[in-house]
Amino acid sequence: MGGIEMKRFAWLWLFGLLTLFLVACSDKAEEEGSKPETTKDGKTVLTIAYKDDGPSSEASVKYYDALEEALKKYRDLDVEFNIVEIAQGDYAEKLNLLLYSGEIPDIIYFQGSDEQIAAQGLLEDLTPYIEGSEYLKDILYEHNVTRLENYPYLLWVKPINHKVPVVRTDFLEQLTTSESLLADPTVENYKAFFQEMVDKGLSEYGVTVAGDIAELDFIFNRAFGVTSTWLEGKEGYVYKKVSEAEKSKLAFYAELYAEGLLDNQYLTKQWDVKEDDFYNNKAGVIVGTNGKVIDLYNTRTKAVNGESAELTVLPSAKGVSSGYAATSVTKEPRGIAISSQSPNKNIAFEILDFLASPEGMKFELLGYEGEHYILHNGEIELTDKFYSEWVSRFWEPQDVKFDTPLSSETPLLSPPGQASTNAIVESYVADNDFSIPEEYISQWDAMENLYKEYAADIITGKISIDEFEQFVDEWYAAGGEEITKLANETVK
Amino acid sequence: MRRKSSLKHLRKDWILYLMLLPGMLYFIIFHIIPIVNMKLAFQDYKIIGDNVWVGLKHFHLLFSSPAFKDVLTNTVIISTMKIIFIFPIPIIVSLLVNELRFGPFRKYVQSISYLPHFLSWVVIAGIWISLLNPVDGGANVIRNFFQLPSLDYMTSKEHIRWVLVYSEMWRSAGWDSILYLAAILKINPSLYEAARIDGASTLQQMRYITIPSLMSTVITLFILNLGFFMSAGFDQVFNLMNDSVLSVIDILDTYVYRIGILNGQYSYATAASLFKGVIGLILILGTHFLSKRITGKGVW
Amino acid sequence: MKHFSMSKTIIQCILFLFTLAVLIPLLNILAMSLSDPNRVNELSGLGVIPKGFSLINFEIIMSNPFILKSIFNSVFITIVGTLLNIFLTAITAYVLARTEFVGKRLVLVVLIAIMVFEPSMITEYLLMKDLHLLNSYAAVILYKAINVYYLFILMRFFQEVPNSILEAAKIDGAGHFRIFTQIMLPLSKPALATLALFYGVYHWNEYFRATIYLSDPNKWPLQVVLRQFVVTQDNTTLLKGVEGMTPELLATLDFGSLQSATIVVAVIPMLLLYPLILKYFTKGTMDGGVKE
Repeated sequence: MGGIEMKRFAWLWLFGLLTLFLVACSDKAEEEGSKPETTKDGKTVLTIAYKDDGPSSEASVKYYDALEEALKKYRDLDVEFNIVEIAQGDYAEKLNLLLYSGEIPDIIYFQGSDEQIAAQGLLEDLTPYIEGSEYLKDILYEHNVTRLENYPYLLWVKPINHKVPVVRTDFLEQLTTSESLLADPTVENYKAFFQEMVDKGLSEYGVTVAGDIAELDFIFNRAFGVTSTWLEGKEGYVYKKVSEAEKSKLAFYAELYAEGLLDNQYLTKQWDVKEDDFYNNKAGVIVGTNGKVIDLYNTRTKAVNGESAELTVLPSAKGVSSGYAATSVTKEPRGIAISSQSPNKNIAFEILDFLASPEGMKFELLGYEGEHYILHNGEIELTDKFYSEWVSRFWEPQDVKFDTPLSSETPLLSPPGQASTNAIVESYVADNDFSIPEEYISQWDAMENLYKEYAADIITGKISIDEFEQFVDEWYAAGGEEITKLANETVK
Repeated sequence: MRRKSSLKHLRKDWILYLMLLPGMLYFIIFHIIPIVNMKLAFQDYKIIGDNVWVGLKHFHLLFSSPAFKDVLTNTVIISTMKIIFIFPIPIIVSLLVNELRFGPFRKYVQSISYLPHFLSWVVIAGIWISLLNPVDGGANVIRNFFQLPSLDYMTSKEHIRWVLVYSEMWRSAGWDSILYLAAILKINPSLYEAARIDGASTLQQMRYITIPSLMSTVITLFILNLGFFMSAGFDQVFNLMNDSVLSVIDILDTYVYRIGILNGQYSYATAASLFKGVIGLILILGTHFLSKRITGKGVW
Repeated sequence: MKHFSMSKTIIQCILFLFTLAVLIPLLNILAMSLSDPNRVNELSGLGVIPKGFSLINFEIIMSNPFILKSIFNSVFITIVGTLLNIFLTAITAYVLARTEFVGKRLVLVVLIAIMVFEPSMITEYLLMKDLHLLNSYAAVILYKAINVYYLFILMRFFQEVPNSILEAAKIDGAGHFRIFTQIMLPLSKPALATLALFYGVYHWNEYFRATIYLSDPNKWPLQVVLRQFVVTQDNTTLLKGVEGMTPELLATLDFGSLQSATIVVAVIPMLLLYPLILKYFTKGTMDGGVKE
């Protein structure tokens, strides 16, 4: 290329670049920084941030439009929802940025990281609202009440989320140990059950978990006496993970591992591989969150293994005590909050209350008439579409009665899903844990990691169970002394 | 170059300053300002209202926690291992590739070796975990072939750091060699001609022509990489961590992530960043000036 | 002469093994994405041939309404971004590499500082907000418009251009800009191509900042849309997130192969660029230089 041409080329390039750049810049935000309109054509505009909802999702838009209609119809409220778009997968991180930059939606769904926000006084104390509510206060679960007492910023009226063990029903029927397991689920019977499953070639190993033993604890903790976070000992409260009960439990897990009944790859198992293992019958038993998730496992395993593979929920192990786990009542781990800076707090709460009313419940739990359910012979029948796509966003109270009864052919959850939730609710017991104060956070992290590592090494057989005492000593030295003292002052 | 009076200087070289302008503007707006705002490390962030000055509170929290020493040790060990074992590999790869004739095989090697770099660590972790599976993973299949017992690498405290090193090597050896290849291409081919005529072997050509020519690039890259010494690879460690090996590969960044970022503790995270940055800065400037004194070459 | 071909063969062997180590896991991913979901478990970790054949994973991905637009967005961001990167990096590197001026050392030290200090996400977010760049491509493109690491590398390359060539040009009366465009740039083609590749891949793979700064899904690049298929928590998210997903359909899927398919879709466009880039890595780039 000659000199002049080169020069022209360079300038052209420069200009082309600048133009492109300006084009890119011209897709600027619609003044996102300013405060959103609070009223528009006489309607109140409410900004809401909810995970996996956004203006780009047709389903979301439809839902909120329908909610607006219902509010108008039943409560004569003129509301318009402004859904915050948060790309799927990074809800917590992006929500944090949004909040920390000063843009606080009126209604916020939190799945963690709310304490900092509450500490800055940005979340509304919901106690007076709930007391003055028409319907909400009647649908609260026992655990909601305690949690709200401790931390009145998050509301989440849903059954407890714990994990339950499930197994294929056809497997259950083939095993002789099933009867004794179901009748008397002792730790030994569980082990025998796993053993038989492997011996009969139904699965490669008895049970698998994803990454750590917390899932197994749902089955076995209480049987060994790990009944709450702080256990009463002779000299006061002791942290569950350094107790004798914990030691016997870990010894048992180590047995399971050594005999191949606990998946030897569990430490590096990722949750989707864990589920695949179950569907492919590498694992005979897995542990999953009650309700919708068990529902899903059920559908999936039936699709892969046939109708007879419908799941049965196994009872928690019985020993010193029984039950799936103690439920922490320090605060809701997730839930709905209302911004204290919002000019529309009352309306926001009215909406939440509406969703607790009979009309609201129908809308929330059943979906759109004609699409998700039809009225047939004086009963409500749920359609296939309901099962495949409807998820309730807000409240799921215990015993919901609709004006028209729900057909028994189409229950809200599949039998195993419902059974799992019932089992959890039946065994509800409150835990005595408390929030670790800020100054101890990093120590607590180190202490928990110490436990995780020792537990992993003991279970996988790298070190013997006798080293448990050493772990306990190290734990106390790393801050356990102070925290235990604090516990004895705080726990009632 | 004689330093004329500033105005005359400006008038003569105005175009130079103009050329420098866009870059400087960019750095000032997008970097200097945020870095100044790292004063957040000395404040408590308030969403509504002004931030509160708390001095060294977050630093104290960071340094005084018992885990800090362990995490720091891990970071230093892992970074050192990576520098010693990974840094030379792309150089060797580029030397080897350079020996290939320009043809389909060379194109094939170059294309394939760059690929792992396109993958995120989430994916690569999945690949390596399955590769190292003690039951049927590729690595153990090979071990068994040689009559060696299977090893669970991923949960072994002795081996996990090597897993970090080798998986990182797998990912970047090919990619990083691109730079060295570009540098090699600048070497005047007549030098090789002359050497070949003089009877020099392939190895000798490498030793006396290629490698010395690469030296300045190598030194530049080495020093620059020292700036990231305290980073040690968050994405990689995060995806390859498990309970058994936590104490051995928990690095500064993963620790800060758990304690800080997950709780919106931006001040705390900023304090850690400042710490990392200061170390990096000292390392770079220190080695740069040292290297200049010894070899005459540095980063600039 | 025998000596000669022996070492060449050894080198070829080593490199071939090296490429195999890389290739096999990747072919395994490809095989997973193309396998019949019901049979994909038969595929071992080192297998490269799909078990059964099924395009269902790709069908699901392509059925996402945003996927085609996102590919276009990614291409746009990558091209504009890379052009900007190369232009800014080259022009800045030239001044820093080949000229002296008051305060240059300070500038260099400040640049190193910029490279090693990473401000927190909230600082960056607030900056973008104040510049009114939220929800714009500019935020994503400008975030790392000049990568200091690459800047220093390019400076190193520029410094190695022999002085004689530049002196000759100066004697001919060329000004700085002309020297830059007519001499420096053409002589640095491999370096520029390398940086273009580095910057390009960086833009193409950008995920995190795209999710933070682009709220309008019509602007989402490919990586963001694809991530919706890779579930990080549990299946119910996938149910809610993917249009037309039903539990029955979910049941027939294999997550591993779905994820593999997303990887394939993400990487393929980059692979198409290879021939273009490799073109610059051929001999003869010093041709037309000065004969010593």
